[in-house]
Amino acid sequence: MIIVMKARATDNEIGAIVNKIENLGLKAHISKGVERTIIGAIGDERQIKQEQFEILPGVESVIPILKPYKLVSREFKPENSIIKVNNEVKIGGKEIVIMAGPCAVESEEQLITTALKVKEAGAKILRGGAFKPRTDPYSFQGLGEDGLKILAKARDITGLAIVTEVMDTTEVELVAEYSDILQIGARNMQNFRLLKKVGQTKKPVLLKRGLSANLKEFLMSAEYILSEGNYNVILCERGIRTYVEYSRNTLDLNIIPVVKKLSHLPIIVDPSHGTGRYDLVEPMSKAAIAAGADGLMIEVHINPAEAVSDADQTLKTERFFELMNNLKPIIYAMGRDI
Amino acid sequence: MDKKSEIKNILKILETILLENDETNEVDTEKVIQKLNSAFKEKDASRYISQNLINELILLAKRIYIKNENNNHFEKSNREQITVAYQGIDGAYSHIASQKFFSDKDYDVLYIGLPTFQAILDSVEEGESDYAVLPIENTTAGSINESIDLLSNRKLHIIGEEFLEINHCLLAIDDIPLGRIKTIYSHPQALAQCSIFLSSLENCKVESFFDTAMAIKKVKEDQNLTQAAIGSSEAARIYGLKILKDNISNTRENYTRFFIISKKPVVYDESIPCKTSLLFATKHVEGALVRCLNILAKHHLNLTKIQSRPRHNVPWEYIFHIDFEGNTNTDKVKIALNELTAEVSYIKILGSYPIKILPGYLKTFEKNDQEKEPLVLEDLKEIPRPEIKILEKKPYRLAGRYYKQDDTLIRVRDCVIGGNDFIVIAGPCSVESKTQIFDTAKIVAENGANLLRGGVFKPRTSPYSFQGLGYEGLELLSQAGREYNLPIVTEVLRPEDVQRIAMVADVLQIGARNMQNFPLLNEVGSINKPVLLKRGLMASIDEFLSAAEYILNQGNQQVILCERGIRTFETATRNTLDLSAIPIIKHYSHLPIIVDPSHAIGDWRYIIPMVEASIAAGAHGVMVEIHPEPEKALSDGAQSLKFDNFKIMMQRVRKIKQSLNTV
Repeated sequence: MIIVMKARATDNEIGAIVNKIENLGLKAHISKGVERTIIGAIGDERQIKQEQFEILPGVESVIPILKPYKLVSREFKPENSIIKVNNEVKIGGKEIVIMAGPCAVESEEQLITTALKVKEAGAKILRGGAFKPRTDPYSFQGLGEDGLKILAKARDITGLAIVTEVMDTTEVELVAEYSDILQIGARNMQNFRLLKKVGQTKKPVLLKRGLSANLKEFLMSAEYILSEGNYNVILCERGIRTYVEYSRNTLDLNIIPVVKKLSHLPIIVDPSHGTGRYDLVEPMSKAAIAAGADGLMIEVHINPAEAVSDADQTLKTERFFELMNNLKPIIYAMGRDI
Repeated sequence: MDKKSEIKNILKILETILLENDETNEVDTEKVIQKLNSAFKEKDASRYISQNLINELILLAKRIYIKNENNNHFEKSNREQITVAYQGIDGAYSHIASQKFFSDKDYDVLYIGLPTFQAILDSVEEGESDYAVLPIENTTAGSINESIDLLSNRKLHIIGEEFLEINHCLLAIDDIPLGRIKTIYSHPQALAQCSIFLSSLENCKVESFFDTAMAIKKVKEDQNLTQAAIGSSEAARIYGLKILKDNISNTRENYTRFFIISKKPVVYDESIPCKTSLLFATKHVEGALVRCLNILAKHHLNLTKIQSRPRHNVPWEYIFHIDFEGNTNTDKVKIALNELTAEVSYIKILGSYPIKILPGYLKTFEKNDQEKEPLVLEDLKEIPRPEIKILEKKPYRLAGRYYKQDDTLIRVRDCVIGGNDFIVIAGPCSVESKTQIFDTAKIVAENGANLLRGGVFKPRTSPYSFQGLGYEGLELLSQAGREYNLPIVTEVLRPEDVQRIAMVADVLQIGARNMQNFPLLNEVGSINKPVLLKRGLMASIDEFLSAAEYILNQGNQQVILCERGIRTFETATRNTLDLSAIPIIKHYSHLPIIVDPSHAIGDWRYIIPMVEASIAAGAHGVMVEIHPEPEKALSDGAQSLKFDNFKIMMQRVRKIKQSLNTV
């Protein structure tokens, strides 16, 4: 249930409502918009009646949210959420934010060379896996904390923000110490303990869509994080599993306008995993931006042929420069900036 | 021995050898040559008999062999009698040609004269006759256009040809002096062939008649001493007329060529010298025809005839009819036709049939292919193209890039699909009423979209849903298209509707549910109109391109692919638009691909972003559903854009297209 406050509602009036919600054993979530404040009462709604709140001072209306996701819904927050990553980078605003880097951190030299290149090309965020969830248990599993240290060093040198994946509840604090954004991988989209744990931090979370998660399930996973108090969630479409034989996954760009309609959260696209083919990265990046995505996450390697993981979908640094150049016209045509 | 008797001697030897072969029904060329050589030696035939003559004899042997093959064919079909249809009545040249072709075959033949060319072809198509004998050209008067036009939209095959020396005679009921003849009746072709003689007659008028034999019949029946007709000596015999003057044609050698038409093709052994007849339409690019002909030259296929005919309903476009020496059953011709198919927009193979040998005709066979220099013209040497990496063998061939590297461009009136233009096809899901389709067409035209869509035969999931207005709707769609100068696209559901819809629609659509309706694909493959092929709900890219292959394989090279969403577990949208398919298909295939976001998403609110995404992904166009009052639409209202949103969409299309072109 959401309680929409009148435009001139006072802080006292808002406080009274929050108290009442908490007294009923529910959680109150406040969304302060440009014009008005909306308070979400989240929990077992059977405890409360609409009329209880409608009569309170400062309340304009009380609307039950029929959708299973509440805090991520547009009803709860009509304006787009803009997620602040650092002083410079914000996701969900006018600017299209490009995250780029290797699939995995392999060595200091590899990462820093790549970081310098992607920064030069115009990326704002450096990606790189230190903990790698690999399908095959015998594949390279990542450098772990050493990898995180290399990432942090790359940030110090380049000024790029860092996004890296966290796989385990016990490692959330460790990763949060080094990274600017915590990434929840597709295979962990419904690892609810992990979602709760990252929900308890204040770090922005990049939530990737599960391989066979439908939109409702995807938004419900985001709801887990928001319900713990962390509203800094960035959604990421990275392709779903279909029968199609030529691409690793089927990039579902349909959901971008749908997400934009249903939710206030920003959504970015990962065409590298979405297609699994480096030659499809550019057309699908353009398409993603045209469909309304707020950013892209792209795998870049100084020498893809030698990459320890995901070589087929990784762009060479030269090609990444080309891509960044070729994206500009469509970004401007969409009325966005880079 | 003089030459003549020597040849007679040889023919006798040959006959003995062939009679031997008759028992086994097989001709082993090597064995025949061996036997001939030893027989010649034995009979002491002179050295005059050159290798050339042996070759000629082999040809003759093969013809006898073909005859046997044909006879076998009929024995197998278990019929005592075959029926041959010709145009005209007893004594018509077509009748004589039919008799000439079939007389030496070992079965009873029933000849039926029918009033028109159309009627004789109908008769074969409907199985009432086994063969039709159709005059195709005359050495004096030229091609018989009607025959070629009729063959272009029939599913019939040429299985043989016949030549008839036309000896026109002037016939009358009695021996009358030429000066007393006041009226001469005949077919315009015959009149044209005798124009010099006719103009020499004074005080005599010429009247054209539907066919020569009918004119003769009239002269016979009228019993008027001032009338005469042009016809054969055979006709004079049949109708008991007198020949006033023999051989009145302008030229001495006046031949008419006939095609023997059958419902089923006959595959002739590759050792039999054959001609192949085909129809094709070229693309509208510089040197298109030269390129096509050069392919034949490159493969040493001797062109024996070329003619152009106007395309029906498409003014100032032409279809070419060519004949060349070669058999579609040989690798050489297969390769050449393969290359030719890549250069044309439409091709229809009418058939390969044994060459009927005329005096002096054999010459072209004397050359040896290997000795000849390649015939590629300097200016037309292939432009080096970037190498395309082919990772694996694909199930499709004609649809693939390794078959044809250049993008296929498809012209629909003023617009070209597959090039740099971004084509917008818009219109209602179904044609519902005159007002609805005219209002929509107006908006489509005003906003600069290229084609008007509208369903008249609707494949609906529920049998109780609105099924479309049928041909009445097609007429409305066509009127609206004409009014606003928009080409029209409509879906065809049944093979039997294809020809009729193709007469009216500019593009025929095959819906997603029919993507693997193979009889329907074959049918649209045999017409010369672009086909919009939608991807099936659960079709992989290989299956999609293989469905296109069905159409291409039938000769129609104008296939536009359309991605319209695939079925996945996602239920938030009607289907999942597989935009990755755009760059993938552009990589593997030369065919244009457009996107239908309306069906893919199923919700009008999300159409515009997906149109934008389609442009960005590199699609050649989009097809969207629009409706004056979506809430009242009889089908797919939820995914139809209102006119004001369509206007916004078109503004966005222009803006994005413009920005991408500036790269």
